[in-house]
Amino acid sequence: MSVSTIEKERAPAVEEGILIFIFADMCMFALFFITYLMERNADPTVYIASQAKLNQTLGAINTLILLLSSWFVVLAVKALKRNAQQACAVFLASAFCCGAVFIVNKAMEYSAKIQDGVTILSNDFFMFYYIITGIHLAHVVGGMVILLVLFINTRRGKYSANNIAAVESGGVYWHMVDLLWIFIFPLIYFLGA
Amino acid sequence: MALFRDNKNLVAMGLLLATIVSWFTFEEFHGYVIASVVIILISTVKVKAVMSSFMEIEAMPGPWKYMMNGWLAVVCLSMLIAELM
Repeated sequence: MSVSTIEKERAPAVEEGILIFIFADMCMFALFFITYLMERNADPTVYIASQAKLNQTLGAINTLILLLSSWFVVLAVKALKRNAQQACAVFLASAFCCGAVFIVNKAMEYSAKIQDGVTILSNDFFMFYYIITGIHLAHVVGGMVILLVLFINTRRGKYSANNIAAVESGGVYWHMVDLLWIFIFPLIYFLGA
Repeated sequence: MALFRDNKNLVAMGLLLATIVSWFTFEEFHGYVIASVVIILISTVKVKAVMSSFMEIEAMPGPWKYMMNGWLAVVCLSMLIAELM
């Protein structure tokens, strides 16, 4: 059996409790998405006019940044499986930096909107915009804290190929943050017009 | 090159490329229903790729694989129905 086959068949060492938390989180976002779609279809004019005020380019850049960060996390896990702690730490730090860039972009986007007088109270579309992207942003911040802890512990040599559960669990959480944004971006920024 | 020999690296590059394709689809065909459907389908394929290749849901124990795929189906269908209504 080749090494790649063994790697493919081996289940990631993620605790069941983490999977329950991640799935519950995803279900919460699914409810947000469905509620948003129902409300948008009930009053499309307001939603389309409001959507046009968003910065789609910044949203697309943020999608690329989060995908890149997920790739770095994948590379970090692979490095740890080879017992290459140094490389793992570099990839975790790179993923953390991508998260930081995402936050800076989001802060720029929010501040531009607020300066234009667009707030959570402006209309229903912007209520959903701030709530969905805001809760997602909180998940990005939470994920960055996890990445930071994993980075510090990796630098201290706490993880190895035989002790990988924490890094794989943190990685699965970060991938969830990424996949949620893959749907949030088209849903909020341009679908419906 | 080692970068291209690994499936996960190829998936990651494909995801970045798919995002750029989605973006150009929006820029060129904004307002057409078919463009929206294409963007939803590309997003769904991207999420499926993240789940399978990065999260490795196929190797997860118990019902997790089915629950994750069910979640994806519900979200994708909701978006498609809302777009086509």
